[in-house]
Amino acid sequence: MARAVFHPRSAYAPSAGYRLLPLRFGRLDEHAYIVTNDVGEYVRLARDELVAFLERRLDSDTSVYKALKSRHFLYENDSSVAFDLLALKYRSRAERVAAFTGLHIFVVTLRCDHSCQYCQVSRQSEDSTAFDMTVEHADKALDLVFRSPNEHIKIELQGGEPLLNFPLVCHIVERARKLNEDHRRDLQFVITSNLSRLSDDVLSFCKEHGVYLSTSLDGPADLHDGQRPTRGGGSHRKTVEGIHRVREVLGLDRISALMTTTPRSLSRVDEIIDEYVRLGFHGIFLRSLSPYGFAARSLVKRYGVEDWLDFYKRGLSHILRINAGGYFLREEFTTILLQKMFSPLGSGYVDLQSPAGVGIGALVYNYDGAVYASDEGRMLAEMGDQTFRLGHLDEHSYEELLTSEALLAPLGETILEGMPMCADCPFLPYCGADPVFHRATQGDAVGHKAFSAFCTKQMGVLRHVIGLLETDAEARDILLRWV
Amino acid sequence: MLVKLSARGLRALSETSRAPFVARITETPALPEAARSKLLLLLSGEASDFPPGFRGYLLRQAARPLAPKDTYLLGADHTYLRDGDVVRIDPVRGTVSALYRANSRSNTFLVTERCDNFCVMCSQPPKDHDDGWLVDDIERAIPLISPDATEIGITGGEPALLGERLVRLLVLLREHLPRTGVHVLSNGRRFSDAGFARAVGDVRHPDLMIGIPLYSDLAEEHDYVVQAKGAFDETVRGILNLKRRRVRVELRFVIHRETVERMPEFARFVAKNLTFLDHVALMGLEHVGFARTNLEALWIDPVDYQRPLREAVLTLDRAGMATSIYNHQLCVLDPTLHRFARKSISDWKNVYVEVCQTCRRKEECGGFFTSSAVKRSRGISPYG
Amino acid sequence: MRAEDPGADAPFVFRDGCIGVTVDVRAYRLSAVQKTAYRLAAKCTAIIGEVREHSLVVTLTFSPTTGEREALETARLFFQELLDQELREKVGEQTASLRALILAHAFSRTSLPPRG
Ligand code: SF4
Ligand code: SF4
Repeated sequence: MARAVFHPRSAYAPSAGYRLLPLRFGRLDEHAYIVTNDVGEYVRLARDELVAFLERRLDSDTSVYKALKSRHFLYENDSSVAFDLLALKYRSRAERVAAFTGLHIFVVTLRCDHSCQYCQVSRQSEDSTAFDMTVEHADKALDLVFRSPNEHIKIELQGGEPLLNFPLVCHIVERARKLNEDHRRDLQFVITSNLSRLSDDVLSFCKEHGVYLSTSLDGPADLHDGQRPTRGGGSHRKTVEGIHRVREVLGLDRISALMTTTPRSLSRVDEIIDEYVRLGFHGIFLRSLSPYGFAARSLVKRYGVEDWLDFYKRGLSHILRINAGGYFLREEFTTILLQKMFSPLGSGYVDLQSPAGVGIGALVYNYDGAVYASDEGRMLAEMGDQTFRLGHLDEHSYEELLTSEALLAPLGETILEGMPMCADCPFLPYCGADPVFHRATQGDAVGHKAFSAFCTKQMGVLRHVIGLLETDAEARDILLRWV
Repeated sequence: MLVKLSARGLRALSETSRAPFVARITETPALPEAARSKLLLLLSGEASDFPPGFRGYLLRQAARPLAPKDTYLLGADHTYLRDGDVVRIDPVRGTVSALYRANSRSNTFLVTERCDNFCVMCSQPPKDHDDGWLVDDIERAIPLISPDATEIGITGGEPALLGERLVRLLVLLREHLPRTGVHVLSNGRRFSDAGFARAVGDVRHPDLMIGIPLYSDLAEEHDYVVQAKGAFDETVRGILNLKRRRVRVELRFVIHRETVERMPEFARFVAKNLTFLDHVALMGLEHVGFARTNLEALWIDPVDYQRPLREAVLTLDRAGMATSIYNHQLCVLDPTLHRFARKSISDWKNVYVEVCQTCRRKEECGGFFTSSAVKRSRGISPYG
Repeated sequence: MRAEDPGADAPFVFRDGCIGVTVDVRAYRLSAVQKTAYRLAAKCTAIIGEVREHSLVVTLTFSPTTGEREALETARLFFQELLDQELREKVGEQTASLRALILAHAFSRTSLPPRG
């Protein structure tokens, strides 16, 4: 072989100078700043590095320079493929937003046998059928479900307590499956239930049709029962029994649980998490109270977003310890944000989308035939604010519902890129608009973010999570496993 | 067992063709005469007579005189030849080269030795000469190959330098071997021409994969490794163009001292920008060609890069990308990576070393390249 | 375009629930001042005055419950934010057209995303 001549690295070095690509930046914590771009890339850096970078005098030999270049925050004259890749990422993101609603919520009844303090919809006595959805409305809603072009369709049956109207639940599931013989979508069912009415019939029905269950579990017995009173008591015991029975009959992964943070939960986050572990769950959603329904009237003012953030941070570190100990447990809110950061497809979580996920992420069919753009929109309506009501099953067609003002106005208003403060917030690509929240708290769908608890929460969580990702290798390893 | 795929020692026993020719070997003398004209009859026993009409005859033992035209006595290096193999006979030089071996899972066609990259670790250093005859032979060989063949590789040099001729080759493969997977190893640069990428896509080959190397997330680093300024942009654009035409693309990253440093960032870049790729292979160095010449500069013991390798693999895996580790012995890999390790070394250049004899996991282990067994990781130790 | 910390040698005075700060309009554009005021709206109300010479007087008005320390901290924050905001405006200027270009490219037909 003839002696080959190789050129040194320097022969391929880019010519001096670079230019900036579109970006946003802001303070991450006392020590660092963060830059992000529209497609969700980020780099953490010191303020003087940031200023040098923005003033186009950052040394190309530094690792921060290389990170900024690799993640498309700058480009050099020698290479322009960054534009092709950026364009592609913009497009993929946009296509995800455009993928129409996949989540359909059926409120089959408003009746409930619990009277939870924070319940987000008016509870009704157990035997008043006036608050049940009719078969006609269910059928009309199902026709709409299959009008949406989504490949994956999830039908969530909720209430009230949906099992109080079990015949309609059966009807919806069976009819949806029948219709799907022609439509051939990937169809999934979830019943959101407190499990107090879990009978053998219900279980065998769920088994036959592959239905999942989701329940409420607020923590240890005293905490749970304290905020979820039932006639005769013992909600926690019944829920735990229910969980075990579902697992026995349907399988381990068939049931998930949701918790709600009340003022009484705040000091007990470790116990709440341990309760989930004790019951064998591998996911927990540290949810803050929403400002709708009963919650807004009674309890919501009793803790501030800062209290919740503190609760969340303590909880997250407990969860990380549990993972480090070898038990897989993920926190779902964090996971949604991580997906937005690291999953190429982002997350489809309705509350965190820009433009707002209303009507795009979910459609809610209320017991009375009204259609809402999101579950929170329905709750707001229960409080008398009809802003997010799209129309009614008896009166409007699919096209009318999806082009209604109630849907389009917040859509247009809530493109984050156009909102004050959000427009140059580095957390924008991982954030969302939540118009219902801002309507409920500030009276308009956009809201002033300096006063917004939603914004404070988002920034607080994102700062914390990104801080962990960037400074704690062990935590990073665990967090990335959740995506 | 290792075989020489092109070997001298062919002895003519009769008048021969003047020019080299390509033919398939058969061991069935009783074939209908009409089917014989493109076949070489391989006779293992003592040849008592020569059924007429075959393209030629290969004998394992010397025969009586009066052999028909193109009868040859095989040499010691030719014992592997068997029914279904497609060979090229060069009567003048006395060589027989197997273009296609029926009992091998994967066969590879070298279609050109020219290349527009000059990678520091190239295993098949490019030669700049007119070698169009290579494709001529392959075009003749394809119709002779059994349609049951599992996979055919196309390699170079840079196959895409063939341009339109590569497209025709793919058409030929689709027509004659529709059930055979085709794997092309290309540096991808030529596909930055959208029209060319479209032409390849338009072949609509049912099972085509193009394997393209990318060595960094940074243009200048990749350009340095392949010793060609501007290659990174062209390669990435080529990949995008191919994917737009729904051609399956595999990314190939060779791990050595010049690439290892950015491996985790590279993986992050791929996971974020090229998620739609069909496969990513992270590969150990084969110590041949330039890699052998530059071995001192390129070698890094795999046990010393397990951390970045793990990070890279997990990043890709989390993004939902199909990810494999090639050319690594199990015992040098971090245990969490074992599920990504593939037995990737072609049978004819695959060996094990002494200590492997006692190893409990030898069956699952990919072993070594023949060429790489000399300089090996200090981490090699058998599972007891 | 290197920006020095302007708050360094201008000690703030907290009087009657207000702090008056002076912004050099050669270093900061009005839009940056406005956006900074918006951002700090939860902490104070910023009343933007008129430009004299090269100076713009901004009066930060605090609620009666705000103490002096907190107010001074907010004034310091005001300039920190203002620096960042001014940088943002400059970045925006440099990249706005690029962003439009990339978007146009993203939604042109040639940029159909590759399919897996
Ligand atoms: S809501 Fe707050 S955190 Fe979210 S993008 Fe807007 S300013 Fe940023
Ligand atoms: S000892 Fe040999 S066979 Fe066993 S894992 Fe190592 S290289 Fe493979």
